[in-house]
Parts: sequence; structure tokens; C-alpha cells
Amino acid sequence: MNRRTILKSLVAAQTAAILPAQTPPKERTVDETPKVDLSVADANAEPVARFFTKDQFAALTRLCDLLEPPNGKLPGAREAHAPEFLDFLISVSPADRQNLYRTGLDRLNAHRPFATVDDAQVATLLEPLKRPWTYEDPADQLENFLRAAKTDIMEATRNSYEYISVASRGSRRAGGVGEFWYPIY
Amino acid sequence: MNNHDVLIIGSGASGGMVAYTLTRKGIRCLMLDAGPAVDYNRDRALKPVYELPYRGFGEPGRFPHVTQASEFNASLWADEKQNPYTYPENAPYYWVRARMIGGKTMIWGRASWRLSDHVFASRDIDGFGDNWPIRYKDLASYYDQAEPLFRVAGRRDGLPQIPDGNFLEDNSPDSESVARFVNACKQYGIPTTKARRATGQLASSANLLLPDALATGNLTIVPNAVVRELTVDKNTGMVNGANFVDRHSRRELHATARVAVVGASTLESTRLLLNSNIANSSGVLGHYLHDQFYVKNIIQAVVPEAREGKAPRGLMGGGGYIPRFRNLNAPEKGKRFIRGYSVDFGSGGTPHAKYYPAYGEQLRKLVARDSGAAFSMTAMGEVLARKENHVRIDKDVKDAWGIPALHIEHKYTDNEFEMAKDAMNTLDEVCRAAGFEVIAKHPHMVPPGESIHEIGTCRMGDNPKTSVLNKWNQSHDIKNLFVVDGSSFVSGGSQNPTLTILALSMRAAEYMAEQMRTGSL
Repeated sequence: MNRRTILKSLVAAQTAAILPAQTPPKERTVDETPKVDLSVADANAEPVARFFTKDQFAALTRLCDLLEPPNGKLPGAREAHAPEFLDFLISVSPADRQNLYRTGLDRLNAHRPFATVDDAQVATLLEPLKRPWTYEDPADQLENFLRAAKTDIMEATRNSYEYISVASRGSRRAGGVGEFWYPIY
Repeated sequence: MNNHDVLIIGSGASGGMVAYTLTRKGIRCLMLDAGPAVDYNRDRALKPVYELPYRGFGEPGRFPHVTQASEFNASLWADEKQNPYTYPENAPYYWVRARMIGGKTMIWGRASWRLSDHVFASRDIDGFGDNWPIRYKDLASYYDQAEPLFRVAGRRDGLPQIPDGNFLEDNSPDSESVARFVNACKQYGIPTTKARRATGQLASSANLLLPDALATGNLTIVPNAVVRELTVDKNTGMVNGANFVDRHSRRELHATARVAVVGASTLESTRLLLNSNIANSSGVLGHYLHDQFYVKNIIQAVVPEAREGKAPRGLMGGGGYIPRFRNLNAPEKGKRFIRGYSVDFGSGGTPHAKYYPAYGEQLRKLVARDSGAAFSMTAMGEVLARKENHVRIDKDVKDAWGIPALHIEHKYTDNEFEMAKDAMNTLDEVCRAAGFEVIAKHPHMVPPGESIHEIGTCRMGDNPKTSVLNKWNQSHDIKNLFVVDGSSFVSGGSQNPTLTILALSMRAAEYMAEQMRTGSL
């Protein structure tokens, strides 16, 4: 028995030990169109960020931690991959929204990387979010960006698979299910 | 090929009502609609938001002018790239369209208010604009018939500006917070009533009008038929049919009929007449565009006793309506505007996080504190019908079927801006008198068009030199042409227009049928 044969027999023995006894496949007609069980990508893979620069993405991630932290068992924005999702969403958004995010994140990084600033500096930089709400968009671009990010980060988190899969176990009202319309022919 | 008596373009409130009325009198109708028919078993499904490609944000840039579109319901709205239009750079217009059998009645808000002579004869009150060629008494019996068809529910309060009707009585008790608001309104002499809405799982032309019309055997519906233009017999000057394009294949076809009825929605109907180059001897086709302005969440208040989840049973929930009360019978002294506004108000829910000057854990606590304690309202004001607010054909832009697009110019003026400020200040006072805490207020209306209440541009009148249609929604120029949707309005008041569109189109259809019976058409 050579080495190759030994390895093959070992693999076969392990497989036999792991796999349960196989049930014979169900008889199907050639015309059958079964409904196949599917999963969602976010339950099986990690999102990849491609749009923001490394510094911008680091600032966005810190901002996500600050605006939408974990809440008990509920994941925060980071755990819900909100930074990666917003990186994607902004990458396919109109130019004015891309510009709002890029310049806003650059403003946060203007003096030191936002990812590394201390609590006092955070409080200063995020002070615009403590101003009273106004209907009009603020003249200050940083304030404008922070306002947009506040609601975007919240929505990106609470609409995520990660958040809903936990929330729906804790509350009968959570679930984010809606009536979806396919293209109508 | 089948021969039809009447060609109806559009299957929404007005086209559906004309089909419902005519077919029951034995008149054979062909209905063309630019959109498909919804199949409720095939076209929709329940999905979690995380399964949607954009996590519920919607495809960025797909609907820049349709704020009502969500990622869930995006397929219900007319695609903006396939259906382009233009407007001046500094005056955006939000044209919201739905192309499907049933039209916008498949997705409408269902508010169903009658107009009164405060609207039909508004010029008599303040001297602005023109009166309608009809009065409330001319339309009342048609409102009486339309309301039960659409199963309208409301409360009879005897308010002359929104006449009582033939609807399901809603005498349900108000919640305590609503009662407090109503009592505060009384202190200011402001009337209130229950919401008045069509009821049922679906309240559309597609389930309430078209099935009965089809059951007569006199209605044929062709979906996905995008009408390019109406055609005219050169010898008689009468409309003899329509050229249309198949939505999918772009194949061109022509349909004929003795009478043509256009009910394709206000601006699509006017676009069709302009592209057909007919019915405009007055020169006012396309002019006098107006709608109702909306100030969404003009006041965001909180009921303090409901905070921290401490609302006792019966404190929160429900809502109501403030009908127009300003300048009702004469211009009020000290007011810098004419006409008036209505208000929808509702108790319950949670204020949006954007209103709170906080973030992170502090924000979460504030929102949790006010969960279920919100008291919110939206003001809807009359927009004056001005000739300069108009639409015309933009020959440089065509839709996906090669049909010239519309250019829309509509601006609000100081009359509307002053009205919105009055609404904000008045409602702020009322909320405080009711013991509510106002956490946000503003007087900023959404862009023209966004209320989806566009009316005018093909208005009716007695004078053929200043109007397109006569008092029967019939073209002054071409007697076998009727335009039956909101484009026929002379003014709109502050009421949602659909119930009046239903009543007007039923009235026009009955007149049409009688004219056909006597051989006048």
C-alpha cells in the first residue's frame, strides 16, 4: 500500500465517521421545478469596503461607534457592518452625496485622525449634533454631513441582518419585514 | 377588430368612473392604460429589509423626485428615466406618477372631502381668480353616489366648508390626547372633525369600478398602451381615435371610437392634448397649474404624560382633521393671505431621531423616553391658480417611447408662504394650549407637485376664450372630446381632490351618455 492509497483510505474512513447515513434521493420527474432554499450574503460573508480612503473609512468606523454603539445584546453599527455598507451605498450615490461624505470625513480628520482623538476632542467635533434641529440644511458642511450620517448610520444598522436577527428574537415587533413589489409586467 | 363607442385613456379614478358609468348604460368602451395590471399573487411578497439590495435605502438616484418611493414599493412608481420631464433650474417640480391599471388609486391616501361653494365660487369671496362654471348643488348628487362606492367613512359635523355626505358614520371616541387637542382648537375657534377616508383592504378603481364595468361585457381594457396622440378626422374636425405604442415592443397601433375620454391624470392628459395639437383655441391649455402645498410635520409635539412608557390606556392614538377655517366667508383682517389651509393630525408613534440634539447613548435614551408619545400634524394649503404656472412641451426631450416630454413651471408665492407661517404659529399655540410640548416646528412646504394633488392646466369654464372645457368636462373646440381628471379644476381649495374627480367624471359620463343617446354625439 503506497502513501497515496493510505491517505485516500484515511479520508474515506473519516468521511464515513462524520457523515450520517445518506437517505436515497427523492424520485423527481424531469419537469419538476423545486423551490430551492436560499440564504443571504450577509449571513455567510464579510463585506468589503472599496470607496473611502483608509483614513476616511477609519473615521467613519469611529463615527459609527459613537453614534450607534451596541445596546445590550443588540449589535452596534460596527457589528452590523454599517461602515462597510455605507462605503458601498455612498459609492453608488449621486456625486453631491459622495462629496458630502468625503469632505465631512476629511473635516473630522483635519487635525488628527478622528479614529484616535480623545473624548474631549470628540465632544468638540460632534458639537454640531447637539444643536437644535432646523428644517433647512445647515450652512456648515460638517454639520450637514453629521446630520446625514446620524440617520444613515442608524438606518444602516437597524436594517442589517446582524441587528434584525438579534432584535427579532427579543421582540415580537422587530423584524423589518415589508411588502415588497417585484417589477410588474 | 372590435368597434367601440368610447375610447377611455387612463384607468384611474376618472377613467375608471367613466367606464363604470357608461358601460352600465350599454355603451361599449375601450380603455387604454400606459401601465400593466397588478397581480396581487404574483407581484408582491413579504421580505425582510436586509434582503433588499440597498438595506431599505433604495437605489440611489433612481427616484430623485418621488419621496414616496421606498425600496419595497419602487416598482409601483413610474420610472423617472423612462418618463423624463424638465423644469427651470431654480424651480424643481416633483412629478409623481404611477402607471398601472387603477392608476394612483392603487396607492392613494384615500382622504375623501367634498368641495363646497367656498371653492366653487371663491372669486365671490375674495375677488381672486375665477369661479367654477358649476356650484356645489350641481355636484352634490354625484358625491352622494361616489362616497358609498368608495366606502367613505367619516363623521357628520355640519361643517359647511366640507359638506357632510353619504358615508359610513365614524362616531368612535377620541383618545384623551386627541380630545385635549380638539378642545384647545375650540378655544381658538378652530373646527375639527374625524378623518374622512375610503375604507377597505383596497380602495381603487381596479377593485371598486373596473370589475363592475367588465361584468357588463361592455368594457375592454388594453394594458401597456402608451398613447402618443389623439387623431382627428380632417373632414369633421372630431377626434376619431388615438395612436398608441406598446410599452414593451414599442409597436405602433391605432384605436378608433366615436367619443374620446382623456383621464390620464392631470399633467399626462394635458401633455397628450398638447402633443396632439388640439383643443387649445383659448391658448390656456397648460396654464393655471396648481395643487395643495404640504408642510409635512409642521409641528412635532410630545404628550408629556405619555413619556417613559407611562401612557395610561386611552391617552394616545387616533387623530383627526382641521378643515379650512381662515378667510372662510370673507378675507380676515390682519391676514397677509387669502384662502386657507387644512390640517391632518395624529396621536401616537415616536418622533424621528433627527429632532433630538443628541447622539449615541443620550439620543437612544431620549427617543426611548418619547416612544409612543408623539403628536404630529401636517398642513395642506390652497395654492392659487395663476396663469403663469404652466406646462408646455419640451421638444428636446422625449420619453422611452419617443413621445415629447413636458416642461413644468410652477412656483409658490407669498400667499402660500404667508399661509404656511400662519399655520405653524397657530398650531404651535394650540398644541401648547393642549398641554403638549412642541419639540420642533417649521413652515417649509415640500416642492410643488410632491403632494400629488396637481390640478388645473385644462380648466373648465363658460367662456371658450378663457377655458378649455365647458361645465361638462367637454372640450369647447371638439365636442366629442372629454377631459375628466383633475386637470379640469378651476381652483382646488385645501381638500384632497380625488373624491371631486370621481364626482366630476361620473357627472361628465352621464351627460355624455345622454348626448350619445339623443344622437348629439
